[in-house]
Amino acid sequence: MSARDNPLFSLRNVTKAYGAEEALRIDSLDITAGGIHLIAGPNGAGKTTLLEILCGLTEPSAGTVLFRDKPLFPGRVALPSIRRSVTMVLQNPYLFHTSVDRTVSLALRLKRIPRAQHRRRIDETLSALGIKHLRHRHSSNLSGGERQRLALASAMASDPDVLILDEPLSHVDSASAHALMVLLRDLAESRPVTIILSTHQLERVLCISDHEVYLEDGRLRPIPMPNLIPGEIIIYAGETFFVLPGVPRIRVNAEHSGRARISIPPESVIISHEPLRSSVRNSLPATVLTHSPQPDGSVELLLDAGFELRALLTPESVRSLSLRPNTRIVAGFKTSAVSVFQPPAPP
Amino acid sequence: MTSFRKYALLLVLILVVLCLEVACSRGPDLILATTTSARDSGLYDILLPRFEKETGTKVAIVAVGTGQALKLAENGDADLLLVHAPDREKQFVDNGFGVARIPIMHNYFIVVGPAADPAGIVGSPSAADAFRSILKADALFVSRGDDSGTHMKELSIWKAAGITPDPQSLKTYRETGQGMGATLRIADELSAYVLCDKATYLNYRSELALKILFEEDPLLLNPYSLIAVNPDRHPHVNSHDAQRLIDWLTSADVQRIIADYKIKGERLFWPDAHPEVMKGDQASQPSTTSPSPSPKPSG
Amino acid sequence: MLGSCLLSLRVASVAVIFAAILGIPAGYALGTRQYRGKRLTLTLLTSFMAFPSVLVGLLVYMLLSHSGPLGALELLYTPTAIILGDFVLAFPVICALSAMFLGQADPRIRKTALGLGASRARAALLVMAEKRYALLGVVLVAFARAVTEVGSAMIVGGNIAYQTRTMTTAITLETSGGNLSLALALGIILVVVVFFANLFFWFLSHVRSG
Repeated sequence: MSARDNPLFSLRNVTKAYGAEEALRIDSLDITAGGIHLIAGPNGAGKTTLLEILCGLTEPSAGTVLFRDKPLFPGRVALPSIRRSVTMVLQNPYLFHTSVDRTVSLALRLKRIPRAQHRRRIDETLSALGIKHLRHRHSSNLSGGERQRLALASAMASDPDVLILDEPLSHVDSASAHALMVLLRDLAESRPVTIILSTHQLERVLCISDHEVYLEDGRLRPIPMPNLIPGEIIIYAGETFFVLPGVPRIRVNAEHSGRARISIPPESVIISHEPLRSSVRNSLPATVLTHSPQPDGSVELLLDAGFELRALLTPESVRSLSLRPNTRIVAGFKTSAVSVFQPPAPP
Repeated sequence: MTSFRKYALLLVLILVVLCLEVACSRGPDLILATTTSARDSGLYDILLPRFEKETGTKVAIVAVGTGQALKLAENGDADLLLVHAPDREKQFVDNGFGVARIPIMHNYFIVVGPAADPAGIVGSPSAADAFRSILKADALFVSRGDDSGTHMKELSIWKAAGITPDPQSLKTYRETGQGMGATLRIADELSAYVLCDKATYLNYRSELALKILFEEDPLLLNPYSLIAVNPDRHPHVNSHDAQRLIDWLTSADVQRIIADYKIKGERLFWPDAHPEVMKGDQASQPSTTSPSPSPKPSG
Repeated sequence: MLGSCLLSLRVASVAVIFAAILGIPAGYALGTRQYRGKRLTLTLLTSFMAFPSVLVGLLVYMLLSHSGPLGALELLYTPTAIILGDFVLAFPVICALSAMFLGQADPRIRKTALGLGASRARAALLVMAEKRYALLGVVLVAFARAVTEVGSAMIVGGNIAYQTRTMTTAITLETSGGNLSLALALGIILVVVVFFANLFFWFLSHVRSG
C-alpha cells in the first residue's frame, strides 16, 4: 500500500449531540489510507456515530471532517466523492426484499457500475464470500451468517476505496467470524482498500488490525491494551518466539509465524536483579526509566527493554529492590502471560 | 430497480392513453340546464337526438333541482334554461341573467292520494279547498320540501287556502327534500296525499297504490319556459346555438311532436308556443267532469 | 352502460395515478422526517381522508364555474372535472396512509441504501420499493374511494348522458327514476369490475415477487 502524504480522513473538533446528550467529542483524529483501522470501545461509546459521520450518513453538530482533503462537513463538497468511494455495512444489516443476485446487482447500480460488469462482479464477490450457490435464494431465506455475507458482498462488489463495517462480528457464529477476519485481512493485503471497522471486542480484532483507536463515552482514550508491541513470530527448534531487533527472543504461545503483536500485562512482569531460574521462561535485561505511584497504592514502573515496558509492583517491592531510575534490572514474565495477536493463518 | 423503471414507463403510457382519449373526444356544443322532472318525462330523449341530427349541434342536459339550475345559469355554467318556476324565472330575467322567457309547453299538477281518500277531496271545488280538507281530516301529506318548481306550486296552493304548513308543528306534514320520484314512493309507503306533476305520476303509476284524486284547477297549471342566458352578462355562452334550439323547440313541427308525446296513451305536455297545433284535437284541455284520466282521441 | 363503466374506471384510474405520483413522495416527506407540527399535520391529513365527496364536488364546482377562478378553462361537465374531484378525494388518502406506512418503515432501509452510496432521493425510492405491498394497498383503497364516490361526480360532471355519466351517477339516476332492479344490477357490475381491477393490480405486484 502506497503511503500518502495526507490522511484519508481528517477530523478536527468534531462533536455530535442528540438533543441534550453528547454522543461524540473528538478533538483530533486522522485515518490514513490503506490497512485495517479499528474503532474499539464499549457499547454506546459512539462508535456507530463516528462511522456514520465518516460515511456521510450523519452530520456532526460541529467541527470539520475532511475526506481526501476536501470538506465533508461543513460544506458537503466531498459528499459525491464519499458516495462513490465509500461503502458502509450496518450492524445487523437490512437486506432488500429480493434474491441474493438482485441484491448485489442493486448495490452495483447504486454505485453506477455499468450493467455489462454486473455478472462478473456478482460472480466473483459471491464466490469470494462462499455464497455463490445461494444466488437465486430470496434474502428472507438465509441464515444469520449468510445474511452477513450477503451484506458484505453488496458492499464489496463495487470495489470501494473505503469499506466501513459496524460491528461485523457481533451477530455471527465464531466459525463465520474467523472466516470473515481472514477475508478482511486478505482484502486489505490484495487490494487498495481502506477498511474501517468497529467492535466492542478489542482483543478479538487486534489480530488483523493495523491501527486502533479507542472510544469511551464519546471521547478518544488510550487503548486498554498495555504493552502492545509489534514484531514478528518465528519458529525455532519447534517453539514459537517473538522477535524484535535488539531484543532477546521472547518465548510465546503462537499459532504460526509471521507478523504479529504481543501484549504483556504489567502485573505479570516480575522484576529482579538477576535472571530467575524458575517457571518464568522469559527474562529481559531492562533499565528503569521512571516509577509513578498509582491511585490504588501500587507503583507503575516504566522500563526500557529495547522497547517500552510497563510493570506494576507493590511499594514494598520497589523499596526492597531499591529501584531508582537508571538501575539495570531483569524483567521476567511467563510464556503464558503473553497475549499474541496475529492474523489468521492463510489456508 | 429497473423493474421499477419498467413500471414507471408502463404507468406513463397508461396515463397518456387515458388522457389522450379525453383530449380527442368532443364536448357538447350546448349545455341546457333543466329540472329533474322535465328529464324524467323522457321528452328530451325524443327531441334532442332529432335536433342533433338536423343541425349537428350536440346538446347536453344537466338535470338538477330548479334552484340549482337557476344558479348554474346565473354563474354562466349553462347556455340556456328549461324550467318551470315562473316567479323565479321572472326574477332571473329582471336581474339581467336571462334574455327573455319563452313559453314552450305546460302540463298540470295533480293531487294524488290513497284510494280510500280519507279527506274526501274528490269533487272539491278548488285545489285550495282540497288542501283545506286534507288538513281538516288530519290526513298525511308529503311535500318535496326542496325549493323545486313543484314545491313552490304546492306552497302557493297552501297560501291560497290560507294555511302555512310547518313540518315541525304539523305532524301530518312531511318534507322529503328529494325529487318527485322518491317523494312519490315515500307518499305511497305512508298512504299520504302528495302534489305531483302528471308526467312523473304516469311514469310511476304501475308501482304505486296512490290514485289521482283531484286535477282540475287553473292554479295547478305547470308552465315550462325557455330562457337563454344573457351573453352580455356571460360573453362566453353559446347564445347562437341556444337561440337555434329555442327557435327549433318553438317551431310548429316540434310543438306538434311535443303535443303528441304520450306515455301509456296519456298526453304529458300541451304546446304553448304554437297552441294552434292542438286545433283539430277534441278536448285539448282536460274536461272538468271526469276526475280520472280517460283515453283521449289521438291527435 | 359499458360507457359508464369505462368512464368510471378511467377517471378513477387517472385521478388515483396522479394522486399516487404526488401523494406517495409527499407522504414520505411528511411521515419519515421530524419537524415541528408533525403530529398536527398528520392528524389534519388523516381527517381529510373523510372529506365528504359532495363537499369536494361543491368546492371543485366553485373553482371551475364560469363565475369562478378557473372558469375560462371550460372544464365543468367534462370528465376532467370529475378527475379533479376524484384527485382531491384520493390525495389525502394516499398521502396520509403513505406517511403512516413509510414512517413506520425500518429506519435501517434508508441507512443501508445511503451506506451503499445512494443519494437521498434514491434512498427514498428504495424505501418506497421495499414497502411496495403496503403502498399498493393504499392505492387500492384510494381507488375504491374514487370509483365509488358519487357526490363530486354528480355536481362537477353533471351526469350528462354518454359524457359524464359514471356508474355511480347512473345508479343514482336509475334509483331516482324508480328502476331499482336496474340500479342494483349496475351496482353489482361496478363491484365486480372493481374486484377484478384490484385482482389485476395485485397480480401485477406479485409477478415480480423477487
